[in-house]
Order: sequence, then C-alpha cells, then structure tokens
Amino acid sequence: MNRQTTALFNQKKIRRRRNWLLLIGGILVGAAIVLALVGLVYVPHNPVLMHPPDRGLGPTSTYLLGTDQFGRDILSRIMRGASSALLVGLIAVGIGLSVGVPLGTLAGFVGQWTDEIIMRVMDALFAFPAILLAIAIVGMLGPGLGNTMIAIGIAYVPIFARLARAGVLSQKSSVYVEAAQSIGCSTARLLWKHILPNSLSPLIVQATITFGGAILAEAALSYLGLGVQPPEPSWGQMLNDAANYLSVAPWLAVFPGVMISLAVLGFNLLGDGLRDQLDPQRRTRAA
Amino acid sequence: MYNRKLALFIASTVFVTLVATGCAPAPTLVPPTQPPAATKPLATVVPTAVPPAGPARGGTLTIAIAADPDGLDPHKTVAAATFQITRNIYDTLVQTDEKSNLLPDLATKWESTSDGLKWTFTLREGVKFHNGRAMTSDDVKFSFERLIAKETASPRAADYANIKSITAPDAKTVVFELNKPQANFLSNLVYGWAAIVPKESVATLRDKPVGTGPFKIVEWVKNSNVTLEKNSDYFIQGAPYLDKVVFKVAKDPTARLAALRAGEVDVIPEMPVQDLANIRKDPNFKTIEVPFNGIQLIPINNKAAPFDNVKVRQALNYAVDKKAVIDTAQFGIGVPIGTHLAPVSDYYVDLTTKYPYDPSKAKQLLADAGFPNGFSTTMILPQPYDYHIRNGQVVVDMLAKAGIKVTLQTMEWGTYLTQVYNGRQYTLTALGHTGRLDPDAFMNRYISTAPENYMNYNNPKYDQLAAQAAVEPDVKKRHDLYAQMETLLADDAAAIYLLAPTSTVVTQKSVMGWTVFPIDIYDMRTVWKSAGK
Repeated sequence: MNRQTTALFNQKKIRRRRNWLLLIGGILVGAAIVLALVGLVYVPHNPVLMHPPDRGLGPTSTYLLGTDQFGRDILSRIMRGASSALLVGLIAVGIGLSVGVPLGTLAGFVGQWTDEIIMRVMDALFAFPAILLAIAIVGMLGPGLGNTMIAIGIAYVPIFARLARAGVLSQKSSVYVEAAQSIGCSTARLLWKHILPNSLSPLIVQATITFGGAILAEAALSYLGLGVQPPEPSWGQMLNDAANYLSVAPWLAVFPGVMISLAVLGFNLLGDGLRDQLDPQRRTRAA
Repeated sequence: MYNRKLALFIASTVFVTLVATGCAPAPTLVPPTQPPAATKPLATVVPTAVPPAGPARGGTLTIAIAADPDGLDPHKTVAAATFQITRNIYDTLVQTDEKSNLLPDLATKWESTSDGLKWTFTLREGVKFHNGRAMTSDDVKFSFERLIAKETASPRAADYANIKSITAPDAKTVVFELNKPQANFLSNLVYGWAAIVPKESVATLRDKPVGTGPFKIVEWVKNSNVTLEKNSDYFIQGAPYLDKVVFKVAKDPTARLAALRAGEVDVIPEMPVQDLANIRKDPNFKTIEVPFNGIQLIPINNKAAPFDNVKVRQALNYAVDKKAVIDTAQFGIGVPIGTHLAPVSDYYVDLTTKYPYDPSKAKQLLADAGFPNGFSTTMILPQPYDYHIRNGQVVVDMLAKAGIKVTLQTMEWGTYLTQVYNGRQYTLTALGHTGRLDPDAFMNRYISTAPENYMNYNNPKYDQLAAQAAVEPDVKKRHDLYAQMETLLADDAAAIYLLAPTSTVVTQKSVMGWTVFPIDIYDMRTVWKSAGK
C-alpha cells in the first residue's frame, strides 16, 4: 500500500476499507470451510461412483451443477474436493510454519555461520518457483494427496524461515530484549515469550495468504495428475478432466474453476485484511 | 482450374480408381506398372474413365498435427509424427493401399525364389531426387545398409537384421538375400523408416530432407510448422494436386478444433472422441470414420499374484462390460474385441463372445480361485492419455461390483515407460497398441522371451506357434497359425481386451480425397481442394 495515497484518505475511510477486506475474505473462507465440513458428512450423490446413464448432463434439478463424463455429480465432487483443498492448505502451511519458523528464528538469533548455512539453503530452495519445487518433490515421493501436502509444505519452508528471521533480527536489538537479557532471561524463554510473539503478526498474514497459494498449488499438481488420485475428486483434477470437454461441456470447467478462484481470493483478502488489522503502525494511525 | 486435356493425360498415364469417400469422387493414384510376380493380383487397380468432376489443382492444404516431428531423417526415429509427414517427402520400394494390399512404389515388380531367401526388385526408371539426381539401385542398397548399420542407431534396425546381403547387379535391379525365410519381409518395406534417401544428403536429412516423393521441403520451424511444396518432377505425372502442404503443430485438441472452426486449418487427422458428436452434426465439416489398426486394453501382469491364476484373469474378463466401456469412456466410438488384434486385420478372429458380461460368473471364478470376498490391488494409468485413463476408471468401477477393489494411480508417461512397460512393476494398467500390416507386430509381444512382453505372458505352445508363423510362407497356413495364437490369448485371458478405436478425420467441406491407411501416414498425393472455398 502506497503511504502517500493512504494519507489522502481520512481515518474513517481507512477503517471502512479495512473492514471490507476482512469481511469479504472472512465470508469466502468461512463458506469454503462450511462447504468442506458439510461435504464430509453429507453430499447429494456419491462423488466417486459412476452413473453412466446420466453422463455429461448440464445443470438440472437432480444435479444442480450437472454431471461429468462418467455421470458423477459435480456438486458432490466439488464439496468433497473442498475438504482436500482445505486439508492441503492446513497441512502444507503447518509444515511450512513448523519447519520454517524455528529455522528462521535460529538463524536470526544465533547469526554468523549458523545464519549463513541455514539461509543459503533457504535461498537455494527459494530460487525455485514454489510450484516447480513441489512438482520435483512429488516426482520423487510419488503422486497422492499426502505427498502433495508434504511437497507444498517443503516448498513454503523458506518463505516462513525468511520472515521469522527478519522478525527476530528486528526485535533482537530492541531495548526490551536487552532488558530481558540483562535480568538473566534464558535464551529459550527470551525467544518464546518475547521475540516470537512480537514478530507473529507478519507470520499470521503470510500464513493466511500462503493458505490460498497452497490450494492453488494443490489444484496445479492435481491438474498435472500428480495430486489427488482418481476417482477421489480434487478441484484441479476436475479442471484437468474438463479441459478435454471444453467444447461439449463447458460447465465441467466453470464450476471447479470458480471454486478455486473464490477460495484463493478469499484467503488473499483475509490475509490483506489481517495485515491492515495487525499492523501496529497502521493500527495506531487509524485509532 | 480444372483442365480437361491435363486430366485425359493423367488418365492415360496413371490408373485412376474411384473410391467413394464422402460425396465427391476421390482419385487413388497408383504408379504405372506391371503386376508384380510374387503378390496377389491387384484387384483394386482398375483403369477407369476420367471422373465426371475431376480434381481441382493448386491450393494450400493446412493440417493440424498434435506433435512436432522428431526430425525428418526417416532412419533415425520411431516417432509417428515424423512418418505422418515424411510419406510425402520420401518413397519406399513398396506401398500399401487402405486395404493393406501391397502395391509397387519405387519398385515396379519383385520376385522371390521358392525358398523365400532371395528377393529381386526391379526399380522404376526416371525417378529423380529433389536435388535433381536420378535414383538408382545404389541408393536403395545404401539406404538399407544405412538403416541396418549400428552407427545409424535406427530404432527399427532389428526388423531388418535378417537381411544377409544387398547387391545391385545393375542400375535398376536390387537383390536382397535373407538368412532365413521371413513372412513379413515384403510388408516391412512399406514403412516410412524404409525410405530411400540420397547418399550425398544424409548428413542434413534431419532438418533438410531430400527424397523422391511428391513434395519437397520448404521449411521446418520447430514446434510451429512443416511446410512442403509440390515436386513437379514427381514420377507420377500430374500428381500431386496441391501446390503446398502445411503441417501445423497444435498440441491442444481444443486449440486444433478452434483453428478448424476459424478456417485456419483444413484437416484434423485425429479428432478426440469427445468432440466428435458435435462435429458430426456440424454441416460445415466432413468426418471420415474408419476402423483403426489398433487396440485398447487393460494389460494384466500375468506373473504377479493373484493374476498368475488364470481363473482370476478370467474373472476380470467376465466382470467387464466392454460395450459399456466404449459407451462411457469412448463416447460410443469403437468396437469390442476379444483378443490382441484389430478387426481391420484379415487375420482377426472374433472371440468377443468368449467372456460375456457376467458379474456372478466372475464372483464364482474368484471364489474358486480362493477369493470369495474379492481382493485389493492397484492400477497404474498413463498420464496424459485421457482415453486410457477413462478406460481404466470405468473398468475399475466395474471390477468393484465384482468385489475387486482397485486403487488408481496416475503416472507421468516417462516414469510409466520405465516402471510399467520396461520394468514390468505393476499389476494392472490401461494401454493401447497400434499395429502394422503384418499381425506379428501385434502378436510377437506375447512370446515368452520378447523384450516387449510386459504382461509376462508365458505359454510354450504360443512360443512354438509364433516361431512357425514367422517363417510360414503359405498365407492360408499363416492365417490358421495366428487364429490359434489369438484363441490361446483369449483362453488364457492374458489381458482384458477392450476395444478397437476408430480413426476419425475431420476436414473442411472443400477437402477431397483424404484416405486413411492401416499404417500411420498422411498421404497427400490424392488430396485436393474443391474450388469455391
């Protein structure tokens, strides 16, 4: 956000805009979560069982979003696909956070050779586009939902490591850290109780945005046939199948495509909203 | 425009056969010749009068192809994309018509000794390479020696390993001597990789091909197009009709279809089955649907438990409704098969009634084999071949109803070739095979020692029959041997033989004379564009 532009707005406008982002993002993300949760307990039709007599139908009252080339209900498959999409986001971001943050914190706090070694490895990982790295890892581990999560998670480790390191570096030299050290606070306690909480907000923002990225990455991997394996549904895989029928059954591509867009948009808006909300400078200015 | 004098000239020098394709008469060009001594009479070659509305001359034909050729040197690749194009640049000694009849091409006649060990070919006179030099028997000798030579590293060299020597007693005679009789020797001379090339150009053939064919190379822009122009010195006078042929690479089927609708391309030689229903209804286009010389199947690893038990394999066959697979996975296009051969082959025996769809019989056989509650296994599907993946998914859905739970795993094609096809590490998969003129290309993979026997089929009786068939010169006896082999495969349920697909060519209304061959070539000699469009 351009500071000069922001300064032109009055404070009320800033606050309203911030609410909008959070609100829309929250609604979209909430809807995706509800869809995924409902999909786990109830779907209108069996999402994996073929029903050839009804194949290739457009939206009807029985099949609200139509059926695919095997007569499977698109709505049911989208609902079931939502849970794998969210699960991938959750686990991949979890891996990225739980590996990246300790590494980054360690690098930032210890410095010197430890910092050099950890961050050069991270740079090497970062040099690859995340999706390319994920493809390479899935290529080694073999396709499947579990390996997809691991691959995307590993690809996201350097993002969180860099962010955590930057947070630690900026806090390390601050007065309150020196004060804590001077009264004999242990390193572990210092990191856990003082430095980490103060560098948490950029991590939360990044995690939210990365969550959207992970959904997109899963869709991309499944599109390439490396992610969720048939007949289990995934949005990316549905999109891949649909590409073959674009001229005869466009709805096959439209609905999973819309779902991916909305979910990723939701997480990005939520991330932006959270950043505005959590940014201490902006918060004081708005208050 | 159409020139009557010229047409009479063509008709007097060339045998023109009318073949009914679509609504307009399409000419089939066959070079002037005496019937060859050692083959069956050429019933299809009948001189006829000039067609009432003859072919128009000139114009450019644009063909949308799915893959860039893997070089244009015919001796150095196996890529179908190469031979589809090079048929128009190079010629072979013998050619095939759409019914698998062998016809003269660069050789006007041939004969073999009664023991089948010595073949003598008489070459056509007055044939010139695109560089202006006359083609002689030395070029034929050179071309085959290059094809066989280790340094060339031709992937097809093994097919010609039985050739003991090649001699050129005079400029228009070539003699092949064989180590042992070989039933498919003559049909092996038809394929694109047996093309005759000029010695002086071989270093640059990959990018600048030089042949004797009806078209000359203009340019090959990698991953974009291959452009050919008419060879006015071609040995069949009056052929070809077109001035220019452009092979345009368009990897995405949706993009190919869009280009056809926009009029940017004239022909899509391989239309995906899912788009065909709409195209058939469209009055702007013409579709040509011909049974394809290929099959699609669910290969079984005959060595992997529990599939080493013939009852289990038979149970799989009873559990699959082939008609429903065609309807669901192939949009109703294709015909069911019962063995490893395409129905277009005249060696094909109909065994489709052997395993009628019968889930209860399947369950019974599984119980007999010791699996009253079924079992679990995996099927590997080759990415990105959507039609094989669909076959696999539908079959797995059917197997589930018989109590066999199959987990699917898609695998990228390179890995698939290493692990499944060459490594034989799999239990079930979904795949297709294309044939050649002789049935041995299909059937030899079941010989227990064959390197491409990825199904691990092993039946000593089959090995013995195949060895006999390879050298049997009598066509009738060969038919009988292959019929026995086909029946063995069906009895042993070596695989689930699903279907033979259909070749579907879609063209603009103006395109005439397109022919589909039993081997993978696009022959532009008979194609022309009607005026007005």
